[in-house]
Amino acid sequence: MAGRLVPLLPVLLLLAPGCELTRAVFDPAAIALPPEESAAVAAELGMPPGEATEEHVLATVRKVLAPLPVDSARYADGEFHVVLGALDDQVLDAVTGSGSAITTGGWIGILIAGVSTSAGIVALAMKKASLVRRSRPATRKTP
Amino acid sequence: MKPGLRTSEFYASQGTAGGLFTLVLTESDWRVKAAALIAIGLVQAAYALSRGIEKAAGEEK
Repeated sequence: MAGRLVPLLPVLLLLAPGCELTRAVFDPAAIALPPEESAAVAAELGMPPGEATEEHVLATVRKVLAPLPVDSARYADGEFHVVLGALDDQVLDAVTGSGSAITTGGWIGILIAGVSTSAGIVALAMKKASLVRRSRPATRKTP
Repeated sequence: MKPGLRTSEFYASQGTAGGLFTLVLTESDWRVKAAALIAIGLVQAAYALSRGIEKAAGEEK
């Protein structure tokens, strides 16, 4: 019986975008910058990317990608490889706009999960109760 | 602990409430906290209702 309800628990985690575990699973550790941002960084560098020092590349990438937190950046194989830092709520709000849809989806998801789990618990109890009633021996009316 | 308390409803409600309470403690967004608290209330109310339903069925028997 409990096995049927256990799958609801991971759903809670997945529905909460603010959850650290969900972020750890879905946040990319290192990414190659898309062409548009790469061009912007190259233009901002003012020199061929291969000749720029790592510190200069990092400072320029931070300037172009602000307010995203950039932990490290390097130029290799014709691409800028960037490692982003933790995306806290302030950064997410700055990137997606205040009252972001991510947070809205999160709390609505939590409510839906709470309601569905409650409905499941009550349904299970009613099913058990009906089984108990059915197992009762039939009583005969005595004249 | 009373006999018969460790039911599947007990595990489901307490497990879910535990997960939601972790959200209340770790989240900074007040909407997520409020939603988690409301969901905890709902789940606990559902558990209490389920205990009542099962108790009533047992007494009828």
